[in-house]
Amino acid sequence: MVHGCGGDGRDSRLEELGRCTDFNPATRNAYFGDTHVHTAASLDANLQGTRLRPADAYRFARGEALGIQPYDEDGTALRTLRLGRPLDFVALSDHAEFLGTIYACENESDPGYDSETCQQFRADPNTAFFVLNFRLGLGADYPFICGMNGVDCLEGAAALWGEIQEAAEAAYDRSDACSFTSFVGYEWSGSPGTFNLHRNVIFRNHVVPRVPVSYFDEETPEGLWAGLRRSCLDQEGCDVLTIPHNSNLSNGLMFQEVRSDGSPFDEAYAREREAMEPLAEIFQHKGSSECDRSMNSGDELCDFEFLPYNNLAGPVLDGQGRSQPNDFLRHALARGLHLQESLNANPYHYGFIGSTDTHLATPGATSETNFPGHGGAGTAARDLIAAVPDVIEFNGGGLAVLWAEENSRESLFLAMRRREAYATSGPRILLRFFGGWQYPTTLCESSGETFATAGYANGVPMGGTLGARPSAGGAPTFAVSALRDAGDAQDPATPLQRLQIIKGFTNDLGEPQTVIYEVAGNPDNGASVDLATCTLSGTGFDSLCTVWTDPDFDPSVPAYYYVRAVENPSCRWSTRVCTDAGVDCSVPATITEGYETCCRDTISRVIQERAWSSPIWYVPGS
Amino acid sequence: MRSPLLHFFVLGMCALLAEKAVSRALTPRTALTVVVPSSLTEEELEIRVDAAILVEEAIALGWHRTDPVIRGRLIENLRFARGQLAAPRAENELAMLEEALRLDMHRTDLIVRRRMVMRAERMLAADVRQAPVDDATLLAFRDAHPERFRTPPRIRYSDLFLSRQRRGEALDADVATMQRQLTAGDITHTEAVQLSDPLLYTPGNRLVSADEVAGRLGGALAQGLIDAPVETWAGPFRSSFGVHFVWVHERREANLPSLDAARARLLGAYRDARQTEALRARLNDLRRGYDVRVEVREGAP
Repeated sequence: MVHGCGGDGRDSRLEELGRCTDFNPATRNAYFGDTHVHTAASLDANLQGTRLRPADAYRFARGEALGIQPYDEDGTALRTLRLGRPLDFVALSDHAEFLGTIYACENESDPGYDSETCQQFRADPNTAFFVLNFRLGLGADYPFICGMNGVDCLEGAAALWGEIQEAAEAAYDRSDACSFTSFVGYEWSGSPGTFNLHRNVIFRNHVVPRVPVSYFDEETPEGLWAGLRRSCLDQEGCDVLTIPHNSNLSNGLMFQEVRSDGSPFDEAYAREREAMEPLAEIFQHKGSSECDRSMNSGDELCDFEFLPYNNLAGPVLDGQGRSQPNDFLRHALARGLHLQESLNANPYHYGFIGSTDTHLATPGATSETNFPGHGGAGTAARDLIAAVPDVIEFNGGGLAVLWAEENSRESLFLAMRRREAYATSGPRILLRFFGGWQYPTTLCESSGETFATAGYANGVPMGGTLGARPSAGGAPTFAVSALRDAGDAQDPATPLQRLQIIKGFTNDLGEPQTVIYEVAGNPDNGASVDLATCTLSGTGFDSLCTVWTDPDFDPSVPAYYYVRAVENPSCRWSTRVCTDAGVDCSVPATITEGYETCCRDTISRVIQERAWSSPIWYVPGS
Repeated sequence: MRSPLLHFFVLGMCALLAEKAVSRALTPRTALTVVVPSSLTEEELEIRVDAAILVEEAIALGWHRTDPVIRGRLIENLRFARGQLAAPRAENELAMLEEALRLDMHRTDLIVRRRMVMRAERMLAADVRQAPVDDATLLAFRDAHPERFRTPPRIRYSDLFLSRQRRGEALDADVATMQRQLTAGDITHTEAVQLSDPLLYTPGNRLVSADEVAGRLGGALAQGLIDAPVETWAGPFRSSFGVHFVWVHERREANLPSLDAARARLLGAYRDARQTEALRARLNDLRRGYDVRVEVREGAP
């Protein structure tokens, strides 16, 4: 069942730490990447005109300029895109469900090539897009051409899965320079009734199942995890984790507190979920899953890339479906602590990462100044470039950042496992967050290396759980430091405005509670942006640092703490697009065809980009 | 199980095209007129000529009758032209196909042409990816393209950072003072490092790539590190956050990775390059069979 195992002895491609010249076991390094990337190997991307293959996506991530759709009749790309700065790592996440279908429809030698499905795939991609993707919402069955249980698509799926693996191997820098890391991965695309339960599946190394476990094979998250146990974790050399995303579009299903069959959680379930899912994607192209603006009137920063609906069909069904509290991670984190008291495990023990969810095979393309649209559930650019290049409430997506000893698969995967990770909404903000019971208040006067050394020595990094409370008592103390993005020619730097620590817990009734502490910077610094020119004004900070102790600590109450590092206001991508087109919403004549969405009053003109640390947990008696 | 069949198919197609090229050499060249708009660049014109030739080759191979995508497209085109899209499919589709071909739709429909070109391009170069590649070839390819595979320079350095945020308007004066102290040798290396303002990004005791420094702190400092002498203070270099003096302990120049470290990457890049070359060479072979005349016409697609 497993590819790549050596016949005798240890496979030389299974790694140990210490290969790289940037190896830094003491204080670890930050690596910026994208774990949510679709290429032409994803059905929706393919039908939307994406021609870039998995190997191309890695080339893009490493800094190459690539042509993207639409293409003219000669096959020449009409747009070119390049990252301002390369990424350090990428995991591709093509949808598993239609790998065999794509292969059949693209290869004349496949028996399914002449099927009606494939003829429609090639000749009428718009219809094929809806017909095939609709299957994901209606029920978990392979397309007809794949036969009973998808058996007729098995070889094709394996072939395309093989291309994905080969591309990852070719992109991975196995020299001691360790300049780039690729992960083999895919997306399990469960979305019953258009409610999103998707998980990105990331493998630790090149040892992976022969074909991915898809939604058509296993139609529940529990089934996915069981399938991954059989096909990976029970096999020599194979390791895997899953990352849920877009809980904001799940209509509460992502964090419903029953199992898929309606039975209550038990300890085994909680342990399995905790083990399989160390991270959640808090931010991406289709909005933020941090918190609900409607239920957190005290936190105006929840109104950031917030989607006004809670299902995948929202953009085409006129935004039907209102958010509910359990669509968001902040709610789940608190409930997880509450559930842990009875289950002895926390089913919602999530650290945070961000990613793009690009369907153009352009990992890391988060720029607000050069946003091409990301396709997928957003706008396709197969035939023409829309005036507004994406569904206007969507955004450029975010990045995943990992604190790891070196830029290798082994080290990065372990960082994901221990949740030493954070998310950004695109900028490369550097963020450290440590928690313990005592940190010197002078820590911010020291170098980054000294800060981190003390951080590890006296506590735990982001993603960790505080050690036992000292017998002398005291409250949790946190050391947090952020350095703004240095910027580049494409995306100039924006100063930081403030650091916040968000504390979550539940009350006696088990209801989630949140307290937001302003711990550094100045939320009232008066910084602003000129909407006509997108020029920034006002003061801000290159770096912010503080050592902060919880003033309201109750040692009997479990809690989580995470950091938000927030930039000064800047122009949203849509503001740039609409302004460049001369749209003035107060002058109807300037709202020309294609730009109507520019003037929706639900769309913010200004954003405050940010980073979210993974939480640090406090559990009494831990 | 699938590969041998594919291999057989690809080799068969190449043999067929090769045979046609040979037989064409013994027969008069085919006249081909390519109509283009005046706005094309030279490169775009070459692409158009290649495409026109591949369309002719595809037609010669009978794809306009046998390819299911093309057949379906042509029949739908004819139904559209007759206003019969909504009507039941009563007529014999073979007859409709012949009618569409008689109207030359297979030469004028953009999707049909694109389908022929893509399929022909794929067939012409597909065998290249199947061919085995030995180590010597991969090494030669690596050495011929050092800019693609070279790792960036890496530096182990100490940083004496003067923060713009912290020092404000005094920054330039502080930089001048610091430079005098360092030049005069008034302070030791250890003392100098301790004078640094706090900065979250620090190189530590590892070798960092110039690319990483550029990404975290800015390109000017990265270039300064590449050029700085070893075991002495160098600078000042401006970054996005202030000014830096650097002490380079060790520098590893850009170098090429070993074959073991880069085998898969080299193999993929080598096959991409061979595929492009093979396609060009086979297109050139095909071109020898044609007398191509380019006709510039305003309004041409």
